[in-house]
Parts: sequence; C-alpha cells; structure tokens
Amino acid sequence: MIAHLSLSFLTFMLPIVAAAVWKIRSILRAAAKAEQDALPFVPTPQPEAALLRGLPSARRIFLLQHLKVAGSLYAVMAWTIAFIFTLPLFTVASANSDKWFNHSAYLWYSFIVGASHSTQFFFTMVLFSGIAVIMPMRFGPEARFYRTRPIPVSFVFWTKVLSVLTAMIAGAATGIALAFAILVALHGPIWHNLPATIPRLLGPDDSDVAQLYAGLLVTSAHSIFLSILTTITLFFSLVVFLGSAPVLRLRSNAALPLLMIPAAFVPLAIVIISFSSNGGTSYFFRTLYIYLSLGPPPPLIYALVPIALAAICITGARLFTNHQDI
Amino acid sequence: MTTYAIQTNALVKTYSLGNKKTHAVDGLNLNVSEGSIYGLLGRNSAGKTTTIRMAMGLAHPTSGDIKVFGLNPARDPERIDVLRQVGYVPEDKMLAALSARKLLELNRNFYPETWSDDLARKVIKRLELPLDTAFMKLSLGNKTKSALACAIAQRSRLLILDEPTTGLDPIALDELLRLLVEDCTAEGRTIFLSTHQLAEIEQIADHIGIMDRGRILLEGPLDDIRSSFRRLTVTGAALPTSHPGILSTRRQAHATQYILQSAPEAFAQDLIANGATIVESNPMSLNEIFLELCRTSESTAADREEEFA
Repeated sequence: MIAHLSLSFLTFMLPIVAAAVWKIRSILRAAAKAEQDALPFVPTPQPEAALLRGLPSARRIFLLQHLKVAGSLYAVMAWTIAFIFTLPLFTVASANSDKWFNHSAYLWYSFIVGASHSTQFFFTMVLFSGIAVIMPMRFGPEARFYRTRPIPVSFVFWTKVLSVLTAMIAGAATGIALAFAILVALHGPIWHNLPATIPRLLGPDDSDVAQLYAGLLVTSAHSIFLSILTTITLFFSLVVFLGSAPVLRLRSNAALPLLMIPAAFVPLAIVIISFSSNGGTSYFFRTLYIYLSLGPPPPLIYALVPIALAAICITGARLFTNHQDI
Repeated sequence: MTTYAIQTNALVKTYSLGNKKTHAVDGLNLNVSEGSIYGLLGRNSAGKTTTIRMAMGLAHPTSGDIKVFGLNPARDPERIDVLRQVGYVPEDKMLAALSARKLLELNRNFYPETWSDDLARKVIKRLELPLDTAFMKLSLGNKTKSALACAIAQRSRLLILDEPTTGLDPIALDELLRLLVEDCTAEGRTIFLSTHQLAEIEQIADHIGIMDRGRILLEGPLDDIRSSFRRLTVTGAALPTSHPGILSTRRQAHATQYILQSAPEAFAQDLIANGATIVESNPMSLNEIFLELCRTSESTAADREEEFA
C-alpha cells in the first residue's frame, strides 16, 4: 500500500518537478550567459500578441506577464485535479472494494469521492492564489512599482483577479474533463451500469456500503463538478475581499501573512463542516451550492448564489483598492 | 505666471494605530516651481517621504490637497496623466526584484513616448551600473543606481527622488549630481528630491524647503535664503529680545548672539542706532540654517506641549 502511494506521489510530482527544474535551469543559463556577454543596454524586442495589439504598450506588457503566470497556474490546476480524480481508478483494490457488490458501482463511487479529496487541494490553491493576487497590489516593491506606472488601478486589479480566477476555474474544469476522459477510456461509461436497487445479498455488516450506495444513486456528478467551480469562485473572492479590506491597516508588511492565514481558516472550516452538515447547516451549504459529498444535489438555481456573492466580494475588493495606501 | 510642478494646500496625512494618531504631514503648504531643482530637507520622520508618497498617489491625503502639474495624483484618470510625466525613485529603491537590465526593459515599455535608450546607456556608463547581476546580489548602491537609471531615462517632466544618494560612493554621487544638472535640468525638467545630505543639495538645488514635524519651516530660492540668514554677535545695553527677523537669541558671557532669518541689514542698523556694537556678522551655511531651524522648531514644540499639558 505504501509502495503504491509512493508511486502515485512520484507520478504526480514528476511533471511538476521536471517543469520546475527546466525553468530554473533556463533562468540560471540565461543569467550566466548575460553576465558573460555583458552587453551594453540593448533592449530585447517584446513578444508580439496579435489579440492585444489594440492595447497601449504598458497595459499589453502587464497583461502578457499575468497571462504567462495564469498559464502555469492553469496547467498545475488541471494536472492536479485530474490526478486526484483518477487516482482511485488505479488503486481499486482497497480494503472496502470486496464489500461492493458491483465493480462499476465501486469505481463510480471512488471517482465521485475523488471530488471531496480534491477539496483540500483546491482550497489550498485558492488561498495561496488569493494571497498572491492581493499582496502585490497592497504591499512591497511590486505594488509600489505598478502603482507608480501609468496604468489604471482598475486595469491592474481586474487583470490580476480575473487572470488567476479564470486560470483556476478553467484548470479545474479541464482537470475534471480529463479525468472523465480517462475514466471512459479505461472502463467505459460506468455510471450507466449501476443497479437501481441494492442487491439483497448485502448482509448486516455491509450497511455502510448500502448507505453509501443509496447516497451514490441520488448523487449528481454534474452538480458536484459545478459545485467545485462555484466554490473555487466563492472562496477566492472571499480571500481577495478579506485581503483588500481596509481593516488591515499595517505600517509594516511583515505582519500581513500572519493575518491572512487565520482569516483563511474560516472557509476551510466551512468546507469541513459541510461534510458533516445536517438540518440547518445542510440548508446553509445547499444555499451556497457547496455540494461536496454524496446525497441529493441542491437545486441548480442555487449555483447563482455563490456567483452573486463572489461578484459582490470582488466588487467590494475593487472599491477598497481605490482608497488603499501602499 | 509661475507654474507649479507640485503644489500642496493645507495637506494633512494622519496615521492611526489603535487610539494613537500620528500626524505625518500637518498642514503642509509647498510650492515647487516648474523647471527648478527643489530640495526638500528634514530630519527623520519630518514627513518628506509621506509627502512624496502622496505626490505619487501611493498614499491618500487625510485632508487638504496635493496637485502635480495641477492634477490630482490619487485618482484615475488624472493619476495616469501625472504618472506619465513623473519619474520616481523610492526611498528603499526596491522597484521590483529584477536585474538592472530586466528592470530597464520592463520600465521602458511604460513610457514609449519619452523613454531614451541612449540616455539609459549614458546613465549606466556614468554610474557604472552592472546590468546583469541578479537582484539578490545587488548592493544597496547598485539598487539605487538601477532605480535612478530607470527614472532618468524616462525623460519625464518631473523627477521625484526620495533619498537618491543612499549607498552611492562619492564618485557615483558626483556623477549623479552632474547628470541631474547637465541632462535633466537642461531640458527644463523639474527635480524634486528629499535628502539629509545638505552638502549635495547645496551644490545643485536652486530652491529648498525645510520640513519638520509635518510642517514646512522655510521655503524659497536657496540664494535668497542664504542672503536673508545671518548670525550677529552684539554687545551693548538694552538689546531687543523680540523682533520679526529674529529666529533665536543666545546670551553669551560678554555678548548676545542673534540668528536672523530676514532683513539682517535693517536689524543691524537699528542696533547700531540704539548704541549697540556689532562684534561679528557672519553669513550662515545651509547646514547651519537647517540646524538652527530644527532646534527652534523643537523648542517651540516642546513649549507648546508643556503649555498643553
């Protein structure tokens, strides 16, 4: 089991580490070459981007820089989500698998549960991405640099927020689609092969499986995947809002991360509570379209609630940036 | 008619930390004429950097207003027009964590209309700036040089330099002063610099402002200020203790020393007419003027606090 987990971890890390090593080596090579050549100042031509040609040079450069970062974030997000979702497909022989009466049912259950396993990951990504968006707008040399160049504050804000948010959502959607494609390629459309009822051969010791299967039958995969996307949007907006709030009036930058991390535990707590929610709390999470466990899905219309809240949070953060001292 | 590059009117900036309020800038009135080299002098925490931050739109005034070329630097779209015309070197010199070459390449994209590669090369050569050293390996002096090269090569109408001599060796400092005078002011640009280095300011500035505790103590053309300040050592009976021109008075063993901040000749004539003898009459250096003003401001503030208590 440990050997299997290690192998999975290595499989997961291999492309990320390889990409990081390649990037670091190319940076070091370029730096060494530059120091050797020691040319006078001859600016390198900027990359042409046909779609951005209409923008003034300052905004084009700023946007291109952020699109590059967003591209990397998209790749990491897609790869990791796909990995987490498909991991159970390669580790079918777990302790519980022999209790399941139907192989397709077990595979489908494992695949869906992958969604809840991805929660921790996407929450961490959202937290750090939110901090990475807000920090350089409020504090430090980068904030000072871009705030004293002739680009509108609104352009800086929307470029940073939308590029990261779009990369995360598109990355998660791609990861989910990729995982689905792998599932279908390996096992076919297993969700069509599920028995509508629980077979009688399940004994009293198998009540947990029966309960899980009953939950699985009423679970909507589409809604879980949609919920991942809306929850990413909601939490990211919340982190951006909290990070921009004027309550953080520090004369020193050093304390900011210490303040951001406790604030970020609020959404983490929300996710954890959502797993064991019932009654009133269940209604609360359904309203926010936080649907990350087995059971009947919330009405689709509720998906608009986190989107509306996210829009309010981001608009609020944008208004705060107008009055921020850097 | 004089046009002003920077003008402030009753400018106030207050920072709150819990119940404690600090007036970093307290009713500041500043007039920086276009085309001048204006040196803003002051002790630590006098409010120089806060004023500069407000001029760059990095901080918002609590009250009063600040205009750069008649525009509000804190609000878009006027802010954009201001920033197109201003080159800025911040106090900590950390613009972005890049090598000097990368920083220059990045910065030139923001000023396509005014940027000069030739001027950039000239500044790099004169200041001996290493272009490809990684940011982490750059010394403070070299960080200062990269920030200066970026700001100067922008060829902006206004250069705002916050402590631009930090970490520079005497040769680089001399080159910088030459560059500022030869290349920047020759094109009619305005230079607004804050510093503690009075000797350097005295070499290049034509206007100065002296700040203390968020207020301007003195402002005007440097030559006028030099000629209006004088130290008089006087003997005689019934010497005056108050006069609009007196900045401070010190009783010595056999004489009285006056520091005068305006019309010293007229005051000396009055003393002679009243039977006093002028033992010594000396002009004052900028350094002496600065120290005298700061000491007087400090004792006035202490008296005010005592009265308030």
